[in-house]
Amino acid sequence: MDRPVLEFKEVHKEYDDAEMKLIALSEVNFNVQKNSLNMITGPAGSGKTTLFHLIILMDLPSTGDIFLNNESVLELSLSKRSVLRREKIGTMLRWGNLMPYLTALENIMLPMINKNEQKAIQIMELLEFSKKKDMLPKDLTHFDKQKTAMARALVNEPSLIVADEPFGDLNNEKTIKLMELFHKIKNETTILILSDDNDTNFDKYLDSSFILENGKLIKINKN
Amino acid sequence: MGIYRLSYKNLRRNKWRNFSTIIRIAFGVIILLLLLSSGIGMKTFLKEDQPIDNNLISNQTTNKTSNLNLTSEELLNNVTNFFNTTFGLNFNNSQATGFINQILTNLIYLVDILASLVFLVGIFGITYAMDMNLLERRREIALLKLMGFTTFQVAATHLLEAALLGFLGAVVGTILGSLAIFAATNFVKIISISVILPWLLPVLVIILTAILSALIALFSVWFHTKNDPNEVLRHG
Repeated sequence: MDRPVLEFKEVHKEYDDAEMKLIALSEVNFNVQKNSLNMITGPAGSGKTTLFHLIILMDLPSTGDIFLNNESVLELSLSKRSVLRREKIGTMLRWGNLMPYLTALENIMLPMINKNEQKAIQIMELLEFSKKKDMLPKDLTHFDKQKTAMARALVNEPSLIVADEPFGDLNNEKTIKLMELFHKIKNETTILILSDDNDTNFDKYLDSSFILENGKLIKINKN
Repeated sequence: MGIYRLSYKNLRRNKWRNFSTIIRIAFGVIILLLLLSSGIGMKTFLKEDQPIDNNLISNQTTNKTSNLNLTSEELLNNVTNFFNTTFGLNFNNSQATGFINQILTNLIYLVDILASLVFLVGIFGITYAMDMNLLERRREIALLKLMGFTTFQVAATHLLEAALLGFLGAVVGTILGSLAIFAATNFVKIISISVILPWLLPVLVIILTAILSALIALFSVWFHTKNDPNEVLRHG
């Protein structure tokens, strides 16, 4: 079995307030394997945002350790973590969050390290929207915006794509289609989705699934 | 696409936002130039033309009155009479000259104070213009950070943009301000006091405005990069 792409070991995160300590994550242990599609669901306030910050290396745990491609990130400076994020982690957010004055293709190429337009177009073809490469975000549907964000996350061939609430503005049909696209690209990378969507059943697409409640992570299925 | 090309794209595609920033900066520069050059003009006038015995009017009006067939003495008498009859005073010629000198000196102080205030207002205006520009771009800064661009990279691209906008605003403001000064000195000859625009002043104003804009942008970007990007992207 391959070593995991991402591994959390006994991760604990707390924030110091003037009056009290707020425990955001408590003894979180999990890992995601290469070329797998994984999902963590949890209601608002469960610690998802804190977890997202830790996964994309914007923040470090209070105790415990995080390994990306088997290397601990604890000792890395903020700047090195930024570089690592750009090279190894693709991020997707709700609404796609695209640069409004760049075309779909330009948005995809924005974080690209080796400026290869053909590569960006290939990814658009894989996601079946290359005809919209010259359209501005305001002319794209929510679904196409998410496709653009997915292509942008994929463009540097990252080890891991982290998607925070990617289904936020999509109806059921588009939500399933987006999940099918995640499933389609998992051969290219590894995917971890953070969502508060408990209504849709994604079991057939997922390799592993977790629930986050009050800062504690519970694994709910094993494949 | 490189992050620096992003600046170029931003400048090209956000024409109105950038245009309004340039206009706001240019406006500050015009007012600043007008007041500074007025102050310099008045000071030069007093330094060059003030006679040893403080008899300003007599010296200054020697040439001016020749066309009117009035001697300087006659003009000075007229001016003194004007003061005495209008304000109910009892000045002799020497006292009237001293009075006028005092008014002009106070006027210079006033212009200096006004120029300093306008300079502060100009700096505030540039700060506001640049900060508004960057405030609208908080989401972009957050997105770049989230994609893994370093604070230095994000700051560098905005710094270049701000310096360019500041430079363009200063150039536009200097050209319009210089034209206004030219018009004031050549077409509106209400008083004999000239408005002087030394060549160094526009150059300094342009350079300082560009540097100031870049520094303000640097501070503002540094401030915005401290925000949680995810929070900014979620809630604006």
